[in-house]
Amino acid sequence: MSLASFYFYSDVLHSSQKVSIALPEPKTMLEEDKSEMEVLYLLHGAQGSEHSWVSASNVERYLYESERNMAIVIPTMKTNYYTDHKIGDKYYTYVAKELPKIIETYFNVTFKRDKTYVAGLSMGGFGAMKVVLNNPEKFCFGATFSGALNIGERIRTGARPERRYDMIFGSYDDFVGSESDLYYLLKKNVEENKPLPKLYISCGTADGLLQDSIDFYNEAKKLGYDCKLHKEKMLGHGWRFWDLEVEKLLRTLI
Amino acid sequence: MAVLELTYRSNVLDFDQNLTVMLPEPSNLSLMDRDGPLVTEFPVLYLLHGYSDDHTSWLRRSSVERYLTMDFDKPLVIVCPSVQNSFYEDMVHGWKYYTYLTEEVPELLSRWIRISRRPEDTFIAGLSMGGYGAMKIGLRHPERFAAVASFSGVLNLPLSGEVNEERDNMTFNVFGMKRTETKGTDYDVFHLLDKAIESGKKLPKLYSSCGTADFHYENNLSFRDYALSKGDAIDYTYSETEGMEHEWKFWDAEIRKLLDWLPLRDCTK
Repeated sequence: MSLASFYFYSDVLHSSQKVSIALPEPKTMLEEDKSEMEVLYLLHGAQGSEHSWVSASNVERYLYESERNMAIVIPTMKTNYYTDHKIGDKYYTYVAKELPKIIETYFNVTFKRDKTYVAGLSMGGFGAMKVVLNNPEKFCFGATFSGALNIGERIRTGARPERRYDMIFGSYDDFVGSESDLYYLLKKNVEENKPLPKLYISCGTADGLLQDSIDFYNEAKKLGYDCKLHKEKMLGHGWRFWDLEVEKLLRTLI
Repeated sequence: MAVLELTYRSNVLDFDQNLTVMLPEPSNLSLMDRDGPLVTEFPVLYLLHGYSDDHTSWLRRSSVERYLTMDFDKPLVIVCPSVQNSFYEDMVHGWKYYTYLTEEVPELLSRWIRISRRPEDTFIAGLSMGGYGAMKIGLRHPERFAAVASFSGVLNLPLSGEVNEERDNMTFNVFGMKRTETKGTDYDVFHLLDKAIESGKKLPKLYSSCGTADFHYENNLSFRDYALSKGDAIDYTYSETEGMEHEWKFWDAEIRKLLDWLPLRDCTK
């Protein structure tokens, strides 16, 4: 198992950033061809960090067991929703533009769309859909586990005030039709004849966010996306589910 | 700072190993002014630690990372391995740190990171035991490196003699003989210098330095004299600093000087 902690200064965020990167096994790499690594951007949920996936799931071991020549890049986002704040820092630009550019410059990863993926849980599920739907030419696949996929409704109704959606997204009017409006983006890609990414949407049946996933899946399906919905019986909003999902992701989904 | 801390299972050593890798900052490469990523292969300096130190020592005890990113305009990747007290050798009784460092590390890193494997982009340097290691590796494989440097290195291994029982036992495990018995063997940098010259291969630029108050000063003078006796057969530079001991103050100044001395191309062009 190979893990890197990568520290660097982000010009976009004007601050030092730390990213975890799970790397393919020396054994796997040295015995096989010298091709560039596939790359998966793996996004954590609200309040998390670059440690979350590494410490709370077995993603590093699953990569090892999969014997894939893949780099898994795990940035840190706190509770900033992978979004350029209405007033403040540009977390979307960081994660969707600057970080891939940095990873591609330093690491031996592919530039090929069909080997570039993004996935995330909860807030990171929203982030993954946002990244993949805004950049369908770059990413071929996006996965959301227990995703917060209806942020617009939360803003409109004033839910979760402690999350400071006003600061991050602005008003409901600001949100509609923006690069954070997933339903708008689903439609926009179809209308503009963009290459549509494959989507995987999953949630536990005991999770309060289940309806978000069902609604989002139905809309994507209706619009012609190649997408899959998975409902995991009995599981709620937690790492037991996300650990299962990330293993499945590496084994069978991508 | 742009630093990568790596943990992975080495096949050669068969246990987990750590590496510290220093990278140019994204801003040094003007990445956000570019349409896409910078497509290049970075020159690489292998920077070796001394006895008792590890892969974190150069980062923590010198300012090399600051020099690299704030005070120097050519992108370079610096790789700091960890070999315990093995003198960068395949130990006669112990682990194969030489094979690890000279075979596995460059191969692995070039799979993970966009570093160049070309000899004109590859450099090696170190302090004390690492100065010995750098010179030894550079002279055993002159075709792989463009420059080799030693700071306060144990360059005259037979002359470095016995130290104390613990260290002598360690070096016996490494070499299978006493240090004094290594003269004329492939552990002996003087002998390796002769062999490298005789091979007819193009030799890397060589540099060695020492403080005049260092307990290895005589040791380093003997290498200087030997290297200078080779005349034009080698491109060799010697430097000493008055009053400096076997200390980080000296190595910190030396690594800054080294960055300017390296025959480094600008890989962003």
